[in-house]
Amino acid sequence: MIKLVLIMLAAAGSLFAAGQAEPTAYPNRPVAYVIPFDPGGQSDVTALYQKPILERVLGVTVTIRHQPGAGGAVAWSTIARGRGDGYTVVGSNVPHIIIQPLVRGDAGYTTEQLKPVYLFQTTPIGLAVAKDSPINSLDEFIAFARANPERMTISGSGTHSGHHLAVLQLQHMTGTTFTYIPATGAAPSVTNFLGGHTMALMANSDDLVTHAAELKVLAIGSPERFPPLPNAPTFLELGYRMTAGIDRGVSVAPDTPDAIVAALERAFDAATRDPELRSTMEGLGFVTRTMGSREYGEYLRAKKQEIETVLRELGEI
Amino acid sequence: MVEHLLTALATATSPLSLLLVACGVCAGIVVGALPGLTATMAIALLVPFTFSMQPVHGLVLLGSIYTGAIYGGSFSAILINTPGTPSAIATTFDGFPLARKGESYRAIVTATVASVVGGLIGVLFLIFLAPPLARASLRFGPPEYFWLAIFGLTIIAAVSPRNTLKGLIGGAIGLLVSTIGIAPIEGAVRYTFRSISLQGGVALVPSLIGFFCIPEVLRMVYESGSVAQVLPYKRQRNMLQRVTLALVRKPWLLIRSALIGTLVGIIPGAGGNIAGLVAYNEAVRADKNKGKYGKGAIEGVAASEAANNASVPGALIPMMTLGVPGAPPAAVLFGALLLHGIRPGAELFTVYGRIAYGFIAALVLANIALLPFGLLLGRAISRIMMRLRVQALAPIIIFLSMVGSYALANNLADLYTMVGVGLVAYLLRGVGLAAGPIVLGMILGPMAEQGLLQSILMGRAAGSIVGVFFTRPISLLLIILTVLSVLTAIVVERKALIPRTE
Amino acid sequence: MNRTVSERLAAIVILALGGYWFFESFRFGELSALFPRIIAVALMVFTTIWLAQSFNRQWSVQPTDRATNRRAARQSLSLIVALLAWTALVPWIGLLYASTLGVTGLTLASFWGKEGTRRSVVVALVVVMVFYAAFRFLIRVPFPLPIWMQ
Repeated sequence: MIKLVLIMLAAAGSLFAAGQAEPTAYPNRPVAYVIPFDPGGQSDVTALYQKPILERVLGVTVTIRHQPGAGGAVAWSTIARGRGDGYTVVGSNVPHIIIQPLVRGDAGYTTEQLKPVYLFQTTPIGLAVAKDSPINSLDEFIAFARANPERMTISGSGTHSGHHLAVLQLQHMTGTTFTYIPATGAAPSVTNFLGGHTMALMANSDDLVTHAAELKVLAIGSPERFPPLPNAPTFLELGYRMTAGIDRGVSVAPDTPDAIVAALERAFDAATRDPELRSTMEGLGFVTRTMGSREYGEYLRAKKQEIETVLRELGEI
Repeated sequence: MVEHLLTALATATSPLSLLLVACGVCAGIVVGALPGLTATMAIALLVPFTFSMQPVHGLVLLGSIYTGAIYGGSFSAILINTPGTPSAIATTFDGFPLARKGESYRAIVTATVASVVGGLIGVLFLIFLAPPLARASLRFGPPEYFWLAIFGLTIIAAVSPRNTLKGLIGGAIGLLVSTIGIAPIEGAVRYTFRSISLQGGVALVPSLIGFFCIPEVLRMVYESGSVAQVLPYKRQRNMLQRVTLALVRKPWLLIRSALIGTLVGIIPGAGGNIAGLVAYNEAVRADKNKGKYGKGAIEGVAASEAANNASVPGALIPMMTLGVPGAPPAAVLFGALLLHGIRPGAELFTVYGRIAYGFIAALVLANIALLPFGLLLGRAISRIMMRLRVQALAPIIIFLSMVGSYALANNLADLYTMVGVGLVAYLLRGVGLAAGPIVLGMILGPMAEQGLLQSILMGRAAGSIVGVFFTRPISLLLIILTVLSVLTAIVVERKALIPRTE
Repeated sequence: MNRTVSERLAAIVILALGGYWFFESFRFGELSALFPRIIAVALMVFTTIWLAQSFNRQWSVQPTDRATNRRAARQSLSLIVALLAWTALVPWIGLLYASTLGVTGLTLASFWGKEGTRRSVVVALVVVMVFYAAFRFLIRVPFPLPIWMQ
């Protein structure tokens, strides 16, 4: 019996050998691209588009995996404790990775632990009301809210998310109170609004573009007018000093060597600059960004200061 | 629309399409049968491969996998009491007792016929009533989700026929477990015992495996007296005809279950799992002889399977017309559509009509394909299992459970969850607390809590919390259904308590 | 230990858990505490009824035969221990090796001496390897590896 088991163990060992590769230059085996959310979302679709180009540049298979939970925190805390070998890249979202550690006590990771590789996309966040709503401008919206404190219901995705932050900032700046109704995810928040259960919606630009025929965008959080929604004024041009958006990029474990980060940076840069991919993304309502590792890192630091100040003013931390 | 359908039928029956349907259905059944691998995961795994295909072919493949996987969950539900996908939970209630009595093949045939009929009825809704149904699904807001969850909880009564109190305790435990993690509103970190992985809550699919599979395997091992047989197997000829006849004699069973399945599928966020459970509950309520459920009634299996396969086209209805997925696998298909640059909505049925209708036609074929492939695979798997003794079967099942729980998110914590939950379930079973109610609590908890809290916020904003819960038409309908369900349960319990004079 | 005693024990444990859930909820904000509080109260009410019932002679369950009870308990315990050991080994020696040992250990622990056990272990190990290979190479699931290979 024991002999049998030993033979089996040896046979098992050979299965391992089949999967191993000799130690050569990075990358020499498949790279995992982890999405911190459920499949079918925006991060997912973008990753699927990037995959073929990444595989071409890196020369290895890129497998897309999903590790949802706690609004992304499960995936981010896993990579924060992971090995810096560059074989796992995780999608990172701003402002999530900034807000969660600030607000959650122990989110399982800190913003600094996610080593930035590349930031390739922004979706500005916009405020919308129903097509047949009597409100036609942001000023009318604020006026209604002033006259009826807490009556205005705004649907959004997540607590302490980019949407929530935008609502809080708007409240703070105008001295009004809304009722923010968070849903667990962009799709349910849009459904809540489309079904008439809330009066307004804070949503990502691609959702606003998808359902453009059924809503009026009162304001958009990009610094300049957003081409797919040309009639939507920006918060800035209306006199409100705020921008709102969700940025998407990729990060790796904290102790990943710079050479590996550079290799990944090159791959994502190639993917982002690919003309076909770029036009498809923009057609769906995303804004392309091309921030490499260093730029992304600086952006994170600046954003973190900004958000920390805002959250303190709002009394959230 | 009719020319679209006809051209679609032509495309769908091309050799390549048929091959894709066949492969998709078989692959889907296998994945669905393996505990831990869900339909969502199967579709998500294959979406990258479809990138280089023509859109219609990619969708045909994914749709076939979806159909096959939801059906495939019934195999492990029947044979090892483990729902292969969450949509097969209700199939375990009567499917496994049937297997224990040696009638596993009869259960599989029932599941097959029911799935085919349910799926086809669902596709009919998709073809003819998609836009109005999708619009109606939007009317489901937070208060409706809350009442739906409450209605779902009344299923506890159907699942614990002799001991409702224990069922209630189990349900409450499940509801409390569902609160572990980050609160949906306000984002408080709750009951995580300082563990980071618990911040995401207790993983559902590994828990399902733990609850249903582990205690059964442990029992299997220690009850294997001197005979090293696992599941007695009675061969019977003409099983297909007999089952079909039995089901045809009660047409309302399948029709009602398919209706429930389609409707539940349409509701965004409620998918195959809830569809199967509600249909099972309604089957029990509609039946004069309620005592036979839970002990091996093929009606229970038929109801659950017809509903869950009907939820497939159901979930696709709002996804294709509005871009709002009715269930997680539909969300992945939505991503697949976006991948090909196709945006769901009115455009899908006009500009991209060839693709949309080609996909729908393929769904019809996929459901029909369940019959030959399902029976073949089902019989093959049963036969293989018959050949194995308990000594081999038990560890294999445990290994597959570990693999399945891990593979879902490549997370070791999920494996631990599965084993931990399994052992707890084993102990709870020892004191009469069954898995069904606990799992119901875990699944419905988040829906109930979010519905409750979001509705309270809505109510506060509108000035009347009571109003938001009790004055909306769909909510009222659900409240009536809940009350009816509770009344039936009380009446049944009363009858059971009054001693019968023989 | 007969059934009634174990039921009472379980009821007390669950009651305690309900209490913990209830009291913990005071650390959260109002909206986060509402639902757990309601359910925890409901659970405690139901469990108290259960506990009360167990003292009522009419409802108690018949104790089973002592001897078979002890053997069954010992067998269940060895199974559980084998399962836990198998799980604990996974992060150290990888899923494949842990499962090889686990399969063998579990089968021997439960079926020592029964006919056909040897052959079953072989069959089980072969099936395990086939499935492992399928998952690892077809679906490319990165299983936990032994620490010396990480």
